[in-house]
Amino acid sequence: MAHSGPFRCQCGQIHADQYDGPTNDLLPYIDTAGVSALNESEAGACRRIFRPFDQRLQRDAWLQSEDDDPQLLITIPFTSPVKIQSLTVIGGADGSAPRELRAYINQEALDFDDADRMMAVQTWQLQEGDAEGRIEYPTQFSRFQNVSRLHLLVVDNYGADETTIYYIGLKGIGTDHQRKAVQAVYELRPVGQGTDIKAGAGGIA
Amino acid sequence: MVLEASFLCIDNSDYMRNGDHAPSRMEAQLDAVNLLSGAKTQSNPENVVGLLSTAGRGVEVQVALTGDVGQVLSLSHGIKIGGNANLSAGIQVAQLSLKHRQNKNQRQRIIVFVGSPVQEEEAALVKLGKKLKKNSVAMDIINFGEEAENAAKLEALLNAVNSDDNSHLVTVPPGPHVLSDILLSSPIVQGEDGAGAAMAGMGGGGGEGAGDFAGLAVDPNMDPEFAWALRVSMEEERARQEAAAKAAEEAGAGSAEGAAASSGEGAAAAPASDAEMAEAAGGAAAGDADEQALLEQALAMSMPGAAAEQPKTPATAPPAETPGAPVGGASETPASAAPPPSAVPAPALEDAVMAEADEDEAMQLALAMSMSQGGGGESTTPAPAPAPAPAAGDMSAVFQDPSFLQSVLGSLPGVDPNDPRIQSVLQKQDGDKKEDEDKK
Repeated sequence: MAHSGPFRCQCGQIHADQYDGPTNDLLPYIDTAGVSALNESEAGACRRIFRPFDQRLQRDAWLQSEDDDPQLLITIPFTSPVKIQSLTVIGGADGSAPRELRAYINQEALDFDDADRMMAVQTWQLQEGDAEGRIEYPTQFSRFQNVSRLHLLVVDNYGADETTIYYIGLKGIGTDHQRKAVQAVYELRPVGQGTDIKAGAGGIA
Repeated sequence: MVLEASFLCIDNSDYMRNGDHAPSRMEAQLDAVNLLSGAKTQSNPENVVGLLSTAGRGVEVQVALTGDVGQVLSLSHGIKIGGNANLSAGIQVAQLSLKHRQNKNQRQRIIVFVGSPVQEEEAALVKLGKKLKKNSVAMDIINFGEEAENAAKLEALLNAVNSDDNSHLVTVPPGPHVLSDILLSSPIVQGEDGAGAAMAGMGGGGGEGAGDFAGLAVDPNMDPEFAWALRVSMEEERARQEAAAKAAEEAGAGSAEGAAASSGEGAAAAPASDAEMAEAAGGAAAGDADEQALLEQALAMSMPGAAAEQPKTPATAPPAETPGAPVGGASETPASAAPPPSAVPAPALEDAVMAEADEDEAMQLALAMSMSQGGGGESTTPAPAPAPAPAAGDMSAVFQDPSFLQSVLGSLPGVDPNDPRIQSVLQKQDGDKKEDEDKK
């Protein structure tokens, strides 16, 4: 259960050991196994750039595009629909930081041709030299209300042959809506406390 | 077992009428299409394949992405030959079809057959290849027909598309080989680590003829219960044979069981022929007179007598058959049935060299067997070369009487006591005995 956020736990106790700071990091909602990227130089490297916010400054894992081609198309599926408030990008040095970023929402599969033809939901011009990820680029929140899959297209960089990204952070609110069958217990009449009603196999009171 | 959508592009230009790949380039291609679509769909049941032709009136998609190999095969035979192949257009149409596949989790792969001169420039092909790589489409190129002319361009295309060894180029020069067979052993069907090899091999061939290994190779993958049943039945057969052999050794080889066991051991190649042998030998021994039974056992013993090494068995067949020539076909059938299957891999040269020694050994063993029938209680082993020496040693007392030997030989129908070989064996026996006596 969440100890912070809109639906705090009802246990009534003080959780001093839990960090109650900015925890709208969407990393728990990202399906990291399903993250993929087109035009990456090393297959699977795209998963390494989604880390906890406090590990964003690590330099041992990065995503790089193919030789002589600065474009990247990153696919990020979520485990449940989320609302994205802002994003943070830490790029490489020497012109390899991404310059223009376009976002597409809830497309099943995109490749570069499709992305060229479609209108992006939002486009950002990223600053060069933000090596510590201090800049949060806000989204048009109303357009990012119910995101199950996000595609980020890096259109170009600041002049290098390849684009290098060390970290991508998404901030927002996750809903825990799951698309699962509901196991409901139906009450024909109210039942008192202490009665153990189990769902499934005709859990009718 | 990678989940993949593959699109096959075949060349149906006029160059396909050429017969340098038997029976014609087009037929070889269609055969290969059959093989590839079967291999792909077998390696993963969710794989899909499609088919298009690059020449004719223009690029035409014959079969959209489907998991039904039968559909691919039936529609592939309706393709007409003519025109010139447009390779880049074909590849682009294939890429578009793959983009619109139903299951977006499938990897994308294009398999191209190039059998006519490529008209595109190398630079254009490289650009196309890079675009494919960027959109994570892998490619397999089969260069046949005009392979020398196209080699450079196709190499360049492969290098542009290849990302981490997911793409391959197979060059097939004209010759007596079959295009499909070369593809079968190539990385296109085999996969990165030979994963597809077992599947493709079993799917293509019958599998049964190769015996145990092939049967067990496919069974765990496709039918584990069947594999288990096969294994259990073969172990039971082996156990039964071993038990029968032990019983035969204890009871004396004169019994029909001994003949069955030894004949079973002699023809150890396949259980089917074992059963045949046992039945034939058992039936013959039970039904016929004692002389017949004697002959049966002599024949049976003479085969395993030299059957430890495969090359020896064909050599034993002629001497075994010589004494048994006038006997009915029943006795010869088991003798000839067992050696030919086991003799198939044997080099003929070895047979000729071994022939001389084997005849003598076989003769001695045959005599030993027939002796033990009357003597009883003598343990005779169906084992190879070592056996004749101890067996002969046991029989030494009996052999010392040449008149007894002559009478026994005379009683065997078809054996001519005046046969020079038998005479030499007898004399050799006498000589051995005399040497033994001298040593003592």
